[in-house]
Amino acid sequence: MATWTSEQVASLAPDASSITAARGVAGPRQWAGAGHDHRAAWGRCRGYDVVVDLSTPAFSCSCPSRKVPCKHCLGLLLVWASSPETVPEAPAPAVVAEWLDRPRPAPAERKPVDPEARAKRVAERAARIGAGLEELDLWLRDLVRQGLASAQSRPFRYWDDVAARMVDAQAPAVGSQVRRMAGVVRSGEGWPGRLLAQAGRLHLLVQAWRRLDSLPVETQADLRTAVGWAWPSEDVLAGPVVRDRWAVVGRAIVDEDRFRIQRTWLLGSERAALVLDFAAGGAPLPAELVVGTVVDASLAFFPGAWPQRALVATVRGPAETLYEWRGSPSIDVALREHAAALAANPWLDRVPMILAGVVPVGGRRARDAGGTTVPLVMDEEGEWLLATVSGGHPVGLAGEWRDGSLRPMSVWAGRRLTVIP
Amino acid sequence: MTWDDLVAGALVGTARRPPAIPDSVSPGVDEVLRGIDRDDPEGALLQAGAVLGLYRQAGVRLPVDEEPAPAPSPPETRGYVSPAATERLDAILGGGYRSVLGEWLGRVAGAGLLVPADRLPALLHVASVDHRVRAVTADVIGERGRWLGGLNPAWSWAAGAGEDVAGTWSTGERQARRLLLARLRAEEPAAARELLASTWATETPEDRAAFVAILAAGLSMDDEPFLEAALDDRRKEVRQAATGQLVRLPESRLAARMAERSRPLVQEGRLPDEVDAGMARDGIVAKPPAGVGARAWWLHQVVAATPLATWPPALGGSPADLAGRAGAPLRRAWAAAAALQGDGKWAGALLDAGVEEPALLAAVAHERAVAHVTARIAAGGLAPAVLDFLDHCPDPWGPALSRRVVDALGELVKRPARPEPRLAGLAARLDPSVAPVATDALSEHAGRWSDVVGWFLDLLTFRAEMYEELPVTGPGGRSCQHLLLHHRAMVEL
Repeated sequence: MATWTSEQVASLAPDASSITAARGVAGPRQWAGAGHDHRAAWGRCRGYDVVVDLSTPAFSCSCPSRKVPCKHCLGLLLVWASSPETVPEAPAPAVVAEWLDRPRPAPAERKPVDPEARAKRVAERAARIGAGLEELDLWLRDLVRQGLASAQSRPFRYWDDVAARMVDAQAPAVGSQVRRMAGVVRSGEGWPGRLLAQAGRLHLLVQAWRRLDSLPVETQADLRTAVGWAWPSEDVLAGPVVRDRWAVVGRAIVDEDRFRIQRTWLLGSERAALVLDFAAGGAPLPAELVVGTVVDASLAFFPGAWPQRALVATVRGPAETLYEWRGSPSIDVALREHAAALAANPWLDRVPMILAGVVPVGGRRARDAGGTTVPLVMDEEGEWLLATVSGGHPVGLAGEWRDGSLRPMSVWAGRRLTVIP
Repeated sequence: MTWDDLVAGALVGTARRPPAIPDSVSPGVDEVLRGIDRDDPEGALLQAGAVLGLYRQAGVRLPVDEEPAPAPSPPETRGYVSPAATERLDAILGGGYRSVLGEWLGRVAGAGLLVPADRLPALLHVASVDHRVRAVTADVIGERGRWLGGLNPAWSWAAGAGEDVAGTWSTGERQARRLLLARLRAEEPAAARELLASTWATETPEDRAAFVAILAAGLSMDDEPFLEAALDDRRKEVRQAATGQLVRLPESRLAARMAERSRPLVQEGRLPDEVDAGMARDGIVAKPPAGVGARAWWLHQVVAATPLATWPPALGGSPADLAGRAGAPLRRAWAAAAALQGDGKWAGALLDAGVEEPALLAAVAHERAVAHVTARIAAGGLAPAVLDFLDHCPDPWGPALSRRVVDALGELVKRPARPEPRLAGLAARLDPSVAPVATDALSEHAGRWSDVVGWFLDLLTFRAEMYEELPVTGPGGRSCQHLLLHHRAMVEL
C-alpha cells in the first residue's frame, strides 16, 4: 500500500509542537524492529513500543505522553514516509496482532424510546423555537423600521442579548447568525447590503418555521439544521448510506469559545461531503480522515434538500494516497453548482469549491483558463505556499466558498496534494 | 439599480421611507416579489432583502482578468532532495538544529540537488534574515526559487538578477550596504575598494571602521595606499581598523616603520621609552591591559606588527632557532605576528616551541594543524586550554582527530568533573563518521553529564544521518568545499 506523505502525517498531530518533536525521533537509526502489514505499522524507539492501526487510524505507544498520537507514533509514520526501507513489509508480531484485535467498546445500548414521549418532546421544542423566532422577527422588523444606519451606533449588547435569547429558545445556530450581524456592520464597504440580506434570510427562516409542517420533509430538515437543532448520530447512521471512494480534499479547524471545530471535506464521484468534528478544551480532534488520501467508505448524510454534512458509517480498508484530481473545469461551473445548492437550501452557509486548472495570481486571486478570477482568503504564509507550489502553472484548488470568496484548504500540483494551513 | 435602491431605503428605515420593492428583476424572481404584501412595509423589506440577497448571492459574477498571465516558472534541470532529507530540513527550520542549516545547504549544493518547492518560502524567509546562508541558499532553490524571488520584494536577492550596485550603495540600509561591499569584495576586491573610496569622505565614522574591516577578505598590497591614508582619519576606531589590516601586509609602509622601531630594541634588549606621535599614528595603544607593564606592552605591539622576515637576518638564526631560544614575551609577540601575517613557517616553529597561541593553527598547513591538535588531545585530554586549540582547528577535522575527541570525551565523562557545556558544541564539527563509535562509547552516561552527552549525541547523529541522506561525490564535493569556505567568510562578517 502507499504510505502517507509527511504532510498527511503532520495533519494527524494534535498540535504544532508534536510534529516538531516527532521530527526528532524520525531518523532511521532511532527505530528498531520496525515493519508494516496491510493493517498496521509498528516499531521500537528509545525503548517505547509503538503501533499504529492504519485503518482507523488508532495509536498505541508505551511512552507516558498523554497526547494522542504521541511523538513516537508520528515519528514512526514520518520515518516510514521518508525512508520506507526502515519500515518494511513484514508479518505483524504477536503483540501487535493482539492489540489490533483488541475488543472495541461496543456501542452503548440504547434505551428503548417511547415514541409518544419523544413526539411530545419534539413538539415542545419546536414550539419553544417558534416562540423565540417570533421575538426575533419583532426585533428584525424594528431594525428595518429604524433603519440599518441606526445599527452602526449599537453596542455589542444590542446583538448579543438577542443572540442569547435565541440560545435560550434552543435555536443556537440562529444566535450565531445574529452575532455575525454585529460583525457585518463593521465589515466595511457594502455592509448595508450584506446586513439586509442576512436580516432577510433570518426573516425567511421565521416565516418558514411558521408553516413547518406544510413544507417538504427535506426543507423541514434544513430548517431544523438552520436553527441548530442537533440530529442524533444514531438517527443519521440508521438512515441510508452512500458508499464511494471519497477523496479527503481539505480541512479547516476553527477555535470557538470552548470548542475546536474541525470541518473535513470529502469529494465522491457524485457529490461532496462535510464531516464535522468537535473537541472540547484541549482534547484531540479525530484524525481518522487524512487530507490527501482516498478512503473507501460509506457515509450517512444528514437529511436535507442539499445533503452535505455526513457521518462516516463504515470504512473499508486502509486509506490510499490521492492519485487524481477532479475539480470544476472553470470557476463559472463551480458557481453554478453553488447556485443550485442555494436554490435547494437558502440557509446553506458554506459550500466546498473544488477547482481544476486555475493559476494563483497576485493579489490573492486564482484565475481559470477563461480569465475569471476568484478572490482567495488566506494569510501571507498560505499565499506564498500557493505561489511556490504552483509556480505560476495551473493547479487544482480545494477551498470553502463563503460570502463571495474562497478560503483555500489544499492545492493539487505535481500529482500531490499540499495542505494550506 | 434595484438592489441599491432597496438597500438605501433599508438604511434610513421604513419609518421614514417606504421600501422600494422592485418588480422587474427576472421572471422567476418577479413572481416571488409580486407575492409580497406591500401593506406590511417591514415584512416587505425583509422579504425583498431575502429574495434579492439570495438572488445576488447565487448569481454572483466574478471579474474576468484580461491581463496576460505572468510568466510561469521554467522547468527544473536538477532533481530534488529525498523525502528523508526534506524531513531533515523541516527539523532544522523547526528550531532545534538551526545551527546546521548552512552545512545542510552546503551538502545539497554539493550533491547538485534542489529543495522541494513547498519548502522554499520557509527557507527563503530564514535566508532573508540570516545573511550567512544566503549565498548557498541561492544555489539550491532552482528555477522555482528564482521565480519566487521575482514575486516577493523581500526575496529579490533570490531572483539572482543583476544587482543594482550603485543604487544599493547610495541609498541602501546600513546592513545592506555592508553585505553588498562584502559580496563585491569576495568577487572583485579592487572594485570594492574603489566603490568605498568613491564615498569615503561622506561615510559616518562607524561605517568607515566597519567597511575597512570588510576589506580583510582579499586583502593585498593594492589596498595599502588607501589604508595608509586612513591612518590619518579623525576617528580612532577608523585608524585602528586600518592598522588591523596593514599589520597583515608585511610589505606595507606601516610594517616597515614598525621594523625600524622594533629591530634595534630587540637587538639591544631594550624596551621603548615612550609612545611618540609616529607610533600613535601607527596604532600603538599607550594604555596597557591590567597586569602588563606599559613599556613591555608597547614592545609587544611593535614586534607583533613587524614583518617576521626582519628577524632571521637581524638576530641570526632560522625561525625554529629563534623560537626556541627567545624569551616568553618575545615569543608571544611573534605568535601574534605569525597569526596576523599568516606565516606558516613561523607559526609552525612557535607551535613546536610550545607557544600557547591557538590562533597560530590558522597559519599552518591544514594537516599540520589537525596533527598538532590531535597530539595535544592525546597528551592532555579535553582540558580547557586544549579545547581552545580545538576551537581554532580549521575544518574539516577528519576521522582521526574526530575519533580522538570522542575517545577523550569517553574518558572525561567517566570522571566526576563538572560538565563543560562547550563539549556538546563539538558535535557540530566532528566528522559524522564517528557517530556510531560515539553512541557506543557515550550513550550509557547518565547523571550530571547526561544533558551534555545527550545533546552531543543528538547533534552528531543528526549530522551523520544528514550526510547519509545527502552523499556528495565527484566534482560536486569540491563545489561543496568552495561553498563552505564562502559560508565561513560570511560568518566572519
